[in-house]
Amino acid sequence: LTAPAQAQIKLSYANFPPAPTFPCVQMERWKTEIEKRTAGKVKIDTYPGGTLLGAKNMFDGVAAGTADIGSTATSYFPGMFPIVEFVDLPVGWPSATVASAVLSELVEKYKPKELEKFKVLTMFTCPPANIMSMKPILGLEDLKGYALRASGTGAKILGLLGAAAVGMPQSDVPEAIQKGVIKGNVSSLEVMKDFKYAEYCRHVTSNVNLFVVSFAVVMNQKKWDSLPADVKKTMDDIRMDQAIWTGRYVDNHVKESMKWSEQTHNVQVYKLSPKEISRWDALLKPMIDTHLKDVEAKGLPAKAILDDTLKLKEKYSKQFPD
Amino acid sequence: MIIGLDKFSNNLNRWFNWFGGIALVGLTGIACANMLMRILGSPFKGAYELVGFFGALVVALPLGYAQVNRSHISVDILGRRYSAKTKRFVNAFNSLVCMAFFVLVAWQSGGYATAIWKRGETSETLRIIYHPFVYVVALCCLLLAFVLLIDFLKTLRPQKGEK
Amino acid sequence: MIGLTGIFLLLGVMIFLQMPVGFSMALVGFFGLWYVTGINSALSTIGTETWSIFSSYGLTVIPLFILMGTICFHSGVNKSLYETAYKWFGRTRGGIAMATVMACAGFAAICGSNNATAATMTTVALPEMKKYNYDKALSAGSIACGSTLGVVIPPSVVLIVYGIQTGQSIGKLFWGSTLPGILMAVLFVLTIYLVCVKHPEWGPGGPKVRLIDKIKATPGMAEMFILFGLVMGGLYTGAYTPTEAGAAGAFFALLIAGTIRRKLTWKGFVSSITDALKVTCMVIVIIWGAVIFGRFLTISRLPFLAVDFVSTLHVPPYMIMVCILLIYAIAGMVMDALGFLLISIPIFYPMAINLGYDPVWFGCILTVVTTLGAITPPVGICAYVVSGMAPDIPLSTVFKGVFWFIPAYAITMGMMILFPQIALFLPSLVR
Ligand code: NA
Ligand code: NA
Repeated sequence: LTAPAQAQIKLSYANFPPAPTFPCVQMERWKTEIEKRTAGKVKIDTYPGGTLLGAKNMFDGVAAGTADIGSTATSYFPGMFPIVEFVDLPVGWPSATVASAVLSELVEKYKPKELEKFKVLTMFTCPPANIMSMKPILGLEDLKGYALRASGTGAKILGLLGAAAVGMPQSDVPEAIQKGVIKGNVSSLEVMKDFKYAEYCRHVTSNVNLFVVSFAVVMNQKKWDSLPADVKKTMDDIRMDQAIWTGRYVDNHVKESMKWSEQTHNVQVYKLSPKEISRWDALLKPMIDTHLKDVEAKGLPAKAILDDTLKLKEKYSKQFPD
Repeated sequence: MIIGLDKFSNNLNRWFNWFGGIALVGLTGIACANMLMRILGSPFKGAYELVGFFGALVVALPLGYAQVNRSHISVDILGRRYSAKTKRFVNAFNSLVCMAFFVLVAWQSGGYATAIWKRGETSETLRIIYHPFVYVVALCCLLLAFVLLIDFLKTLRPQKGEK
Repeated sequence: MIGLTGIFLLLGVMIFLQMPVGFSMALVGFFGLWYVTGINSALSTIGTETWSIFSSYGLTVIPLFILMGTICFHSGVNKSLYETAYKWFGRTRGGIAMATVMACAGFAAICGSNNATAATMTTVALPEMKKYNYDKALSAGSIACGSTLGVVIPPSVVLIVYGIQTGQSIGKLFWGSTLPGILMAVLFVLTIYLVCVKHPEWGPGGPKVRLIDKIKATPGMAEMFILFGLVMGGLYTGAYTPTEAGAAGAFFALLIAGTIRRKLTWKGFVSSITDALKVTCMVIVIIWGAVIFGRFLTISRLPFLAVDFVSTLHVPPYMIMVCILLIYAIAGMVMDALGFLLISIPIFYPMAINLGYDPVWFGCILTVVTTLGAITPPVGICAYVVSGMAPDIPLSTVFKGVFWFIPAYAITMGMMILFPQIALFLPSLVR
């Protein structure tokens, strides 16, 4: 065995969802790319499925050095990431690719104070959340009092729309849907295939694009400081590329999942008219206003961030149509 | 002195256990109320978060009481073969080490509570602060450490059947 | 190698120092983390994990089901159940232990966790078996092993995790695991029969009871069956999830104890709560220790090495499957089975599929082998629960009792390998 000329740098990378999910797929892609681009100088051990750190412990764990790198959803920490939260607002994201690109650029520009303690390696989002249900949801009237599961931000949005929002951890959802405890789920649509929700939810309302969940991949700052300049450069260079790659990957995964659902389980897909969607938007507007006020109170340029978010959304929507 | 401390600790633990009981009844109540409300069409979306928080109280509050009652089990294959003196030494060592460890656990849990308090962290769905629950867990670990300290002090006195 | 050192250290602390098992695992895990990742990381782990485990929604099913059990115990519901069972099955040697295994199987159909099953069944069944002079090891072994049916018979936490990890239909997995679960229960009953043939005094047969007396005694089972019906009914009509079934069970038990029985005194109620608290605290502290120790094992990369080892073997497909099962059995001895499942599935799952095994079948056989980890020493949480709840039964006695049932697990897996239809027949009927 011939060891590489330079001593290897070993890094540990923790992630919370199971290995086949997209946050872990992007982790493996990042690992492969970095190992390749540094020609074996850096070796990365990955820990999917919360085997090293759970979602809520990720930031503390990376700060303490339990893992060198960690990936978690900032959306699980309401109020903690005011700038990132602009992306979590119901502004009608067309795809994960667009939302991920915007998120990365926003973070680049405003350098959120709450992420200062870490080195941000990349940021991305899940695809826009839509409705999978046991009966067709064709308008606000169908939603009224209907028991749908969503987590965090989603529950708030569903409440504003008049649905009966059920809070439930992801692990309980498959059985709850199977037994009919809940009548559907509101999340990005790749779960139709990944968790086999298509077996029970035969109706999908696919263009309401209610919200996205934002993710951050962070590295322990001390560890980052200890890395040689060329490795740092490699990691910096891949940052935006990784965000867009992840968005692309998971957007395609949603398409694949929907195709599978339609073919194998005869799932019906509905698209609401722009007029109907504007009714939904009107109900969700107050949420954006409240967030503006909250962030302004924190002394941040809320209006400017929102304008930037919307401007970037236009820009990247053109760059990544569909 | 030890007898006084022992009595104090027993009373304190009985109280904590009582609160644990109230938390358990509360836990059952919240979970049942949530099911009922969901059947009636108006689910309480944050119920599962409260269930988790109350669950933490149910585990933490009886920590000391369970130690007083020797509910935490251990492997006993060699137990009967040890001489009284060895047994006492082993017990003293265990109590001391575990006490130190639970002081650490209490300190770190308290630190964690302070950290989420300072950064204003709230629960995901209800958006309520939850650091008070974490402080209670930390306090209960400290109480367990206190019980272990008394256990250690007790081992310092010669036991019956030992010269 | 630090991983192996950690395991030996844990054994030393547990056996020679006799430190409580939950404390030992947390302590060794803490020092292990300190060694591998530094003091800050070890301290941070105990700070954040303590809260996240104690407040875990999934674990609240444990106190709730235990409360149901203690209420039944203090109001005498289980006493009348066992009196009836004794009239029906008491004459057969080991009959009450067999009935207990069947009761475990029934309870497993409402509860997805084997720890909750172990705790509940220990409360309900152990004092009764003692009353009928059953051998301690046999009683404890029947309950500990019977309770592992909690995850084999659906609903099941392990199958849900497997389904989410591999994208298999959880509904199909549940159907697939039903027959293996029943087969296991039957093999447990057979084990008890054979053990009692060899040691008749372990499960003494009772007096002969006339059929008419048996029928007369039957209403004594009614309360337990009503309770069971209410919990199952709610579960299958979609009124609540399996996690919530515990709360419903506790509530209905209280209702039955208070209205039909009118035997639950205030003192009995307080004792129900106090007992439930003590057991919950003990069980979850053990799980807490197992998680912290598991974190250390993970970062030591020992489980990954074990998985890599199997994936480089050049042997016939069935031997690879046997090796995979062996690795699970060994890993299950020292770490939380679910934790190892999460680490190993990404590698073993594609391997098994490439070898031509059916994904549903693989999920079902993994459930059987991971559940074995809950009863094998040194880290056997179900065995801990049984022993912890029965102060007069030392841990070594529980493990001794469990030992008799190991062949039943092996035979279940062997039959599943020889006749995959056991796991595949029912799923093939559902779409
Ligand atoms: Na079950
Ligand atoms: Na084990």
